[in-house]
Amino acid sequence: MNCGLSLSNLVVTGPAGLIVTRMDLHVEPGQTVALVGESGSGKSMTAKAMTGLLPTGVTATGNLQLDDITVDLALGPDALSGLRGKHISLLLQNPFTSLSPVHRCGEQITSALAPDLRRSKDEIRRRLDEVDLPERVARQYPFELSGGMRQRVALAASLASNPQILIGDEPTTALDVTTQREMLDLLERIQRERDMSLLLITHDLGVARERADKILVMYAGRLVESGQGAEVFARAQHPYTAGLRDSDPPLEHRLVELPAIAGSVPRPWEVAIGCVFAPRCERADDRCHKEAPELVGTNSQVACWKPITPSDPQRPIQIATDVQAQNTDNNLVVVTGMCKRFSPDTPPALDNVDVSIRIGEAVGIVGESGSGKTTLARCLIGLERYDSGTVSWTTDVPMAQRAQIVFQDPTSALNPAMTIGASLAEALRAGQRDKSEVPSLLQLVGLPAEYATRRPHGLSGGEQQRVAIARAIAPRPKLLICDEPVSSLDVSVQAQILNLMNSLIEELGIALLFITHDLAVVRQVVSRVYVMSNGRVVESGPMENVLLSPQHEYTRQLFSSVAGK
Amino acid sequence: MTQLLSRGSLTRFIVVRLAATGLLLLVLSFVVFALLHLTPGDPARNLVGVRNVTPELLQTIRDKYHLNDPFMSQYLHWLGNVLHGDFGESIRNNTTVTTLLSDRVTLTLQLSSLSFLLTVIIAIPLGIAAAWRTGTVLDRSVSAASIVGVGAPTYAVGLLLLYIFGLWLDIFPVYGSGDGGFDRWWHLILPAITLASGLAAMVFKLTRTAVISELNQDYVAFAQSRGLTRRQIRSLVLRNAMIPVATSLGLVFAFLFGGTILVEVTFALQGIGSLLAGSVTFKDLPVVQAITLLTATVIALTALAVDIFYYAVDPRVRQRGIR
Amino acid sequence: MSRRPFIPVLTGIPLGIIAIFVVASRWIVPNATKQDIMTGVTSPGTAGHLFGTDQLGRDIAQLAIAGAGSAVVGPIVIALGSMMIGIMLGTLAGYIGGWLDLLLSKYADLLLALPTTLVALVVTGLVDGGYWVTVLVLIMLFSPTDIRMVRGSVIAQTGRPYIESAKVLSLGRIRIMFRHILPNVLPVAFSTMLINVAFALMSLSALSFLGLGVGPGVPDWGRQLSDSRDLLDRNWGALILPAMLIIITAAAINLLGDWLQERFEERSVQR
Repeated sequence: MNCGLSLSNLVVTGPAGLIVTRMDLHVEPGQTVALVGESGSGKSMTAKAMTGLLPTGVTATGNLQLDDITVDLALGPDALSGLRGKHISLLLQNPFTSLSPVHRCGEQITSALAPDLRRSKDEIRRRLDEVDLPERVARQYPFELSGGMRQRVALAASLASNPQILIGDEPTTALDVTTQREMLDLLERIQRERDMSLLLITHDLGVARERADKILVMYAGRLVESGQGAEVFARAQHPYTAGLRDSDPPLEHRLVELPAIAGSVPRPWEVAIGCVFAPRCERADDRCHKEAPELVGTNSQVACWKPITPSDPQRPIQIATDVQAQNTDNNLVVVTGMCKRFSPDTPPALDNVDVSIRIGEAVGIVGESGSGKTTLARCLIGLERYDSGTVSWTTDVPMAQRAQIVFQDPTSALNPAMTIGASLAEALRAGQRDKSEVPSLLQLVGLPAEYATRRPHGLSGGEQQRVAIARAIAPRPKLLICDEPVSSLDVSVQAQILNLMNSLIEELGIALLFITHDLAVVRQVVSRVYVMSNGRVVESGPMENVLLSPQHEYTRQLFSSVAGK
Repeated sequence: MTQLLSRGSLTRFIVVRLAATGLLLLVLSFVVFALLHLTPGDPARNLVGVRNVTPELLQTIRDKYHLNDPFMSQYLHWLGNVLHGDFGESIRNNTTVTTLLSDRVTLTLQLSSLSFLLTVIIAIPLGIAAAWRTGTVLDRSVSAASIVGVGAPTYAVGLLLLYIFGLWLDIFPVYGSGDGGFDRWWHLILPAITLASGLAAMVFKLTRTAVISELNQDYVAFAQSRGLTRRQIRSLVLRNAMIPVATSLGLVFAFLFGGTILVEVTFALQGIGSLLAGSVTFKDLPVVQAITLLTATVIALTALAVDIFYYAVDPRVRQRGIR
Repeated sequence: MSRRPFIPVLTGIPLGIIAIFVVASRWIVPNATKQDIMTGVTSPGTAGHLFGTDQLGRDIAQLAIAGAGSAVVGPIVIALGSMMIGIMLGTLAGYIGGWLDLLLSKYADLLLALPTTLVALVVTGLVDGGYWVTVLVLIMLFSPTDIRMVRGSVIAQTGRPYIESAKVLSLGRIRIMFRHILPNVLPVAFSTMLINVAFALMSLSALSFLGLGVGPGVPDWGRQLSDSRDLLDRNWGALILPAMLIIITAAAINLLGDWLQERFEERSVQR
């Protein structure tokens, strides 16, 4: 009897406390369900609990039912060993670590099969075919393949025992935008052919919107809302869902300010009484703070004392008029014909690149991994040497005051051995400013002055990135380069940082070079954009123009690959 | 395996590494040779030793060892002899160094191989078992024991074992190398155990760390999620862990040599180690030079063997080619 | 696997006692080396001698207490000296790279091509300079490993964004090395140093066991053990006491260093 997968009353506990509470979910045969949430929401742990792969020290209780098999999760991971692979399979996020480096792809794909099938060339060929991979991959080792291809191999491997449901834990997050779309299309096709269900775990709202029949929203270890597909966002009932939807940067237009949810995501075990979201909720009242709401509803469910109803006033969206690219020749820095090659037998990282940035202008560079966008930034700021070309600045202040940089990973952006105040003071001194400015600098990035005595490791990702930004603007550089500054942050925090950047540009009049692969993000910040691919600039122009009428084939492909926007 | 392991690339790899090893040994041989001139005192006198020093004797020595020739030609001369297997004469005894060595080499080989065997048989399975069951009584107790084992100096352990099992309980013979065949091995048991204790502790630790590190990798979780059996996962992990474990075994080799010297002295075994100890105290330079150079050669060849093993076993190395 | 704080306590007690021996042996056992040929060898438990005496009538226990200094001070100096060289040269090699790095790597390779004990044996035997010369030689022999370790750690730090930010701030090389890289390398260096003390203890005492290093008549555990070989049938205390002292000291230092290393690793993983 094929009635799909049902998870009831899941509770996951770790050494620090609760990780997931009272989680229920149901997946119909052939259905795609998306489990959406930010970091710490417990979505990954839910997947691990369902497959019995929880890390040591973490236990789960609850019931899992698949067709006519029922498993009591309290019995431990071994209770699920009968289901793993044959009924439920897992696809992990990182294609670079999912496969054993010393075994060939072919044998890894069929390793879950019976011994006689394992070595069957036909079997291997069939499975590679299913994921659109050529036969030669069977003899190759994982490191010889690209990320996208490796993920396909992993997919083939997880499908080997013909499971009824596949759980994908952020399966496309580590891939390029174009590869993402291919992968999701492939998943969809395979689902149809095998009549397989898919539980898609993701933080990307666009992916969920586009692909899911049903969406479940998790926050701090609890299910806060669920409903049919895109409706969940369009007609969000839970304030968190609405907040999440609003802070997700849109592609169609630029907002004056991205609505952000104040504060940051708590750890699941830190919230004791009342509604999990209450501390950050604008609508919260006494009851919300004291009593935790239950999940109510049939088709769409929500756990909230004050859910948003259609009659509630819509939050006004303030669309900004796109800042017109200045026509005046007010260049701050001009890069002409930059070329760089890392080694003679690899293709050039930079191939005759021309880029210009005007004073006070916000310019974006978009591209996928390997496009050269990061290399360009590093050459511009002096961290990397370039082989030929020129960089001409129209200012002659010392280098430290010309350009500063903010990196992607906030956790390693700050010296763990120094206090925040000391790091900032050092940066101020580099710009010939006095360290007494530290408090006002912290205030500028929205942090309390007491943070000066703290060390980086106690701060959240968003806060660390704010400190990194503070350090970068301390010497008042003319240009601030940001290399994927929000890619490692949660969506709600991302919005905060983007707002911060916009306000800083306006207040301080600095130019901004924003490098990212995320088109929606760059849309919100820049007035002009360059599109790069394989070391060359394939297109450039005012943001809106390029977005609405892309000229180059690659640009068109890039934009159309963005999910759900 | 055959695809990436083409004949040509493997031979090329070996040739290049051999050349590098050869170069290293050449430099070392130079240093070893220079020992004669670096020791305080007149080289000729040092070569004479405790015999009566007369001007004629000194002159004979000088002629025999070409001490009046320029440095480089002396070196080349010496090197030439060495490559023919001639290390000169021992100052202490009146035999050639080669005879001295060949008499003792068997014992040292027997001792080393027995210790190595014991180490591998005990430490590696224990390391794997402990890694598989971290935190259990087995893991904790063996880990604790290994920390003591690593710290305990070889000779101290040796003496203790010698006293307890040799004198007090009178199970094993106390000194000497026994008379050939089985008796020899019986005599070597206690020394081998002594040596193995320090080595096993090291190998256990390294194996355990390597296996734990592999168990924490994503590919293990992915394999489990696909329903692979415990046995399949174990072979997956071990295949990957083999690589760091092999490195550790190579490292262990160096320790083995130092330990052999101590063990041989402690148990009064007539091996190369005790020969070295005695020769150093006695300043018997030709013997010291010979043993040092031989040791260096063996270690260098072991390192080469480990590299070749890497090449055969880790496809990533093959792809990167010769470094 | 995190261990409760009982490890520092467990190791601290024996190490504390040893430390007292080292510092105060002059006052606790002033007559340790006094010989009494008349008494000769006695077994443990004879009047006034808990562990008996050796051929020269010296009390074993007193000798062992007096020997703590020679057994422990040298290794500490070795570990310290080696780590200092390691930090200086390793930081330069790791951060500046270039020919300096190449040179040091080749030097390290050469030195590590031979087992430490062997080289130590040969050099100290030929030079014949006594305790402190031996210490110096061991410092030279231990330094390549420390240089390598520090270099590796420095290189790992250099790639991280906060160092690159410092470069972009146009901070001088020296400042970056000392203010940014070094403070993050020091914790690991410290725990490694502790483990090195244990190794140095083994090497140094092994050398004195073989008759090198310490002068005759100077109290030293390794020497005591070597001497005990002739006494085994008459006084087993001469073996047991110094042997246990060495093993316990080395094991305690190792445990402590290991525990510290785990703690530092946990901390750096958290970030």
